[in-house]
Amino acid sequence: MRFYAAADEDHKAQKGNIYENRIRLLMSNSVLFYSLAVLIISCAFAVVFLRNIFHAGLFLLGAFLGVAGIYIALFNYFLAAVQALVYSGAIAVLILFGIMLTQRHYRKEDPSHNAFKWIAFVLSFGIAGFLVDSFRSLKPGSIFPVKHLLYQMGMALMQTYAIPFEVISALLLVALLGAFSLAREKEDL
Amino acid sequence: MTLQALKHLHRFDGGLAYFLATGKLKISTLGIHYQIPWLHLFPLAAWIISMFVMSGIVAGFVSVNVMALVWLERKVSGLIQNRMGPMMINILQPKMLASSKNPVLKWISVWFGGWLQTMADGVKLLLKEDIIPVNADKWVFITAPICVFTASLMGYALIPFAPQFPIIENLNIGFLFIFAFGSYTVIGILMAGWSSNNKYSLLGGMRSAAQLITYEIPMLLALLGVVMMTGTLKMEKIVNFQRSLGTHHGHWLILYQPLGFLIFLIAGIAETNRTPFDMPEAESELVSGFNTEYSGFRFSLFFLSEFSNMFLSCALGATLFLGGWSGPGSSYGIIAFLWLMIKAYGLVLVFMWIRWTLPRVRIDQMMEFGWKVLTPLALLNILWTGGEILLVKIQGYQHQYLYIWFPISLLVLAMLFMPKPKKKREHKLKFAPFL
Repeated sequence: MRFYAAADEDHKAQKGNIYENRIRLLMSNSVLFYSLAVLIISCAFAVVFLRNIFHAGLFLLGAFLGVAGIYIALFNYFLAAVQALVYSGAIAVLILFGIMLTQRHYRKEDPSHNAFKWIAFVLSFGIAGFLVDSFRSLKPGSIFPVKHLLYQMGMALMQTYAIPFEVISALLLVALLGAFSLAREKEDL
Repeated sequence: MTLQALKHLHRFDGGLAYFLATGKLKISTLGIHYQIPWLHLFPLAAWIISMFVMSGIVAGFVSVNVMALVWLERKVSGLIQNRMGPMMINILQPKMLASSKNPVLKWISVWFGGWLQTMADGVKLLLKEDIIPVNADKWVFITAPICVFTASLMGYALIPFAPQFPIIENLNIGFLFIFAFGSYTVIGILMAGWSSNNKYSLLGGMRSAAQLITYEIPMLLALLGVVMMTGTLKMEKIVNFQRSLGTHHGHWLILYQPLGFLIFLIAGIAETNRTPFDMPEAESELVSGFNTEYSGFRFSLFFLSEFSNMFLSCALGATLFLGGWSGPGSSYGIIAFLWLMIKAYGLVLVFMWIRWTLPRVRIDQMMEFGWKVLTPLALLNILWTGGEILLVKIQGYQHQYLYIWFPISLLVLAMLFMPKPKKKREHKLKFAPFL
């Protein structure tokens, strides 16, 4: 039974990892965390305040990258890769793509505010308060690296949470069909 | 150096990155324990230095390799088009031998003539004027080639060039990393297309984004078959899995995943923008596509990253499907490295063969092929791999019997690609923004 042999081996290998130690050192000095936080927040501010919408899209990409960096600092390489693949590789590209398809005038400077700005202000503060409240219970050091995270994540998705996982896939399928029916040409009907 | 010492040369305990990060060179088989005296006192400095050194190593390897690849491409195109390719720039003047009667000397003169052509081209590119158009979006224009080149370099860190010689060690997401950060190529191309302020560049950038997103899906689905069989994403472990199959030097995974390999190959050609799918720079439609406005060094960065991406996907294919560094004598680090290079260059030759043989497809044909043919085939491949695993796990088949799947797979492939008589259908001109 040589299939799955590699996975078992993966599960058995329990060696100290020099890079994790290195990053742990960095995290304990908070250098990595604060530089990433500065990167993410400044990119987010650039997204909100820049008047050139293409530049705003690029800075959104920078913010996504910074979040991927936070995941790496938390030893969750898989989530970092998925963040890079899905958020910056697909979603940011789609946003830039949409801008390129719809923007008529090159380097058009759009106003970055509209009538909803106060509502948006209040809503974003509400969400921020909610997030701060939900993360307040965590103490420093309560997040620690899980060994063989990929293996455990796969097991959880396929065994413990198999039904929600399948429901989500059905939801995505429905969304796909909906997008298709919205985008197809009407004369064919 | 004796052969025995050579054999253990590659066995750093912890890999190259460990040595660079800690300054500790530990080759336990030879009893070597050496530490660079001061480096452990400044861990942050050591970390940063090691990052710079490793990036330098990868960039140097890529540059030299790309020079060889460009020269090879021109020679292969010459062979296919029945001409000699570049013959002028040599140091040893093998051109002089071309008139000799000896067939071996003649072969050498034709095949190694002009071997310094790429060097001359590179120098010419670097000496050219660096033009930034007045109406270009300056900073985006400048960053775009850097973004593309960096994305193409990052993947090299994960390729196991020899046993226990990965540049990054213990990254359990394995080749997912290559795809995750390889997707920044699209962003760079989009940035180049947008910032040039040129409609051909814009069209090239949009085509490129559409193409890369389309072909990334079948590629990842095809590689899922490999993950299902091996149970891991780590490149080193996938190579070791292939060595553990069979009797002598292992069975390559292409024997169990022929359809997956084919999908990987086609999607790889599409991802690296090579000819049957080189819509982003189709010179007969868009002047030069997304890099129309670029010149000099910035253009050469695009050129470099295109070829380095090609080699990267070939090395990935060689590692995942063709056994990686394994082969006769691969316990010697250098021979293992040569095995990987031979396999990767074999795939490179296939890429070149396809490029100089097939004509360019239309953009709508390309999109239809990606979504309607390759993606369903990749899903089929997953089903098939599940069948293989069931055979081994439930029926208790030996792996040797899985060879039976190979002729069946060829049969299925032949049936799938059989040209069918097709009803003639009138094509209306639909909304097609990339045309």
